[in-house]
Amino acid sequence: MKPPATYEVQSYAGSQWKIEAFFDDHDLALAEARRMNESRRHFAVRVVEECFDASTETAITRTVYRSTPIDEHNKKRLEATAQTRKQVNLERAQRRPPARRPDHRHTTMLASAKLSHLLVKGAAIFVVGFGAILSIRFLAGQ
Amino acid sequence: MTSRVGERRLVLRVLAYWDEVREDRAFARLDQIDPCCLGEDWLSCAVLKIEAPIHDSIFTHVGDSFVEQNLSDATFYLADMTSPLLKHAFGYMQQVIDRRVPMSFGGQIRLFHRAALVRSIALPLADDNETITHILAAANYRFRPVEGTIVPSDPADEVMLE
Repeated sequence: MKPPATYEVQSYAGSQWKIEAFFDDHDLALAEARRMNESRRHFAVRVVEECFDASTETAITRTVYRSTPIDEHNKKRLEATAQTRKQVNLERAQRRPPARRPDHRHTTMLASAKLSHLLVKGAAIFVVGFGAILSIRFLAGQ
Repeated sequence: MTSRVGERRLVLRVLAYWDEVREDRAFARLDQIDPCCLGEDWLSCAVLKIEAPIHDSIFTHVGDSFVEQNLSDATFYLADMTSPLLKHAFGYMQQVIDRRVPMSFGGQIRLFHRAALVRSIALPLADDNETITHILAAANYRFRPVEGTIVPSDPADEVMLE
């Protein structure tokens, strides 16, 4: 069975967290933290849960809620940016004609033409070279 | 004021009011607590003037919701407290004085020979923003359903007293 928990609502001021209220109920603590956050009188608000295990005599604390007006602002900005980006992409997609899919037949033909062109070039170089050697030999023999 | 509008839980409404009137101070002052602003919630509130020793503390206001309390005496001391609801609301008063923050607890009491779920809050008041002179407490209750009756679907609703 989970040990009973207590909840501290804390606000951040003067580079430290200050306890603002104390509850034995999670939902009440969260509701109060949200109200404090909405009041915009606090730089940051958090709720710290503390569970005390009597068998081990240890207290386990964890932050169950944290919010700042900056977080709220950043969240709204991110949402607005994502929405704008989505709209831009949609409009861009509508404006552009659909991209042509590459024709596989055409690509194969192009590759074989290039290969034959290369072979012809090679043969020509070979013939010209062989002819040149023969000519040099013939001239040297005279 | 707007933050309290629409809030269904008494303890959060009273806490929001206390927070509203204290502004940037650590505590609200007694003269800032206006029964008119609290409206019907004032009937569920009680104010205790802290004295030394603590059992000599005197109630300056006890709302009609604490019906079980006998208020015939002109001076009503903390030690004379008989109402279980009032006892619950001021049962953790010392912790409020020590921690110097509002505290809220729920629990079970017997009222009119029936089991009831209670939720209360105790808020410190200080005129000089340093010494706690009064405790403002608010409490309400709901009778536990008798066995065999329909239980609320969400058990939390049962405790979240309005």
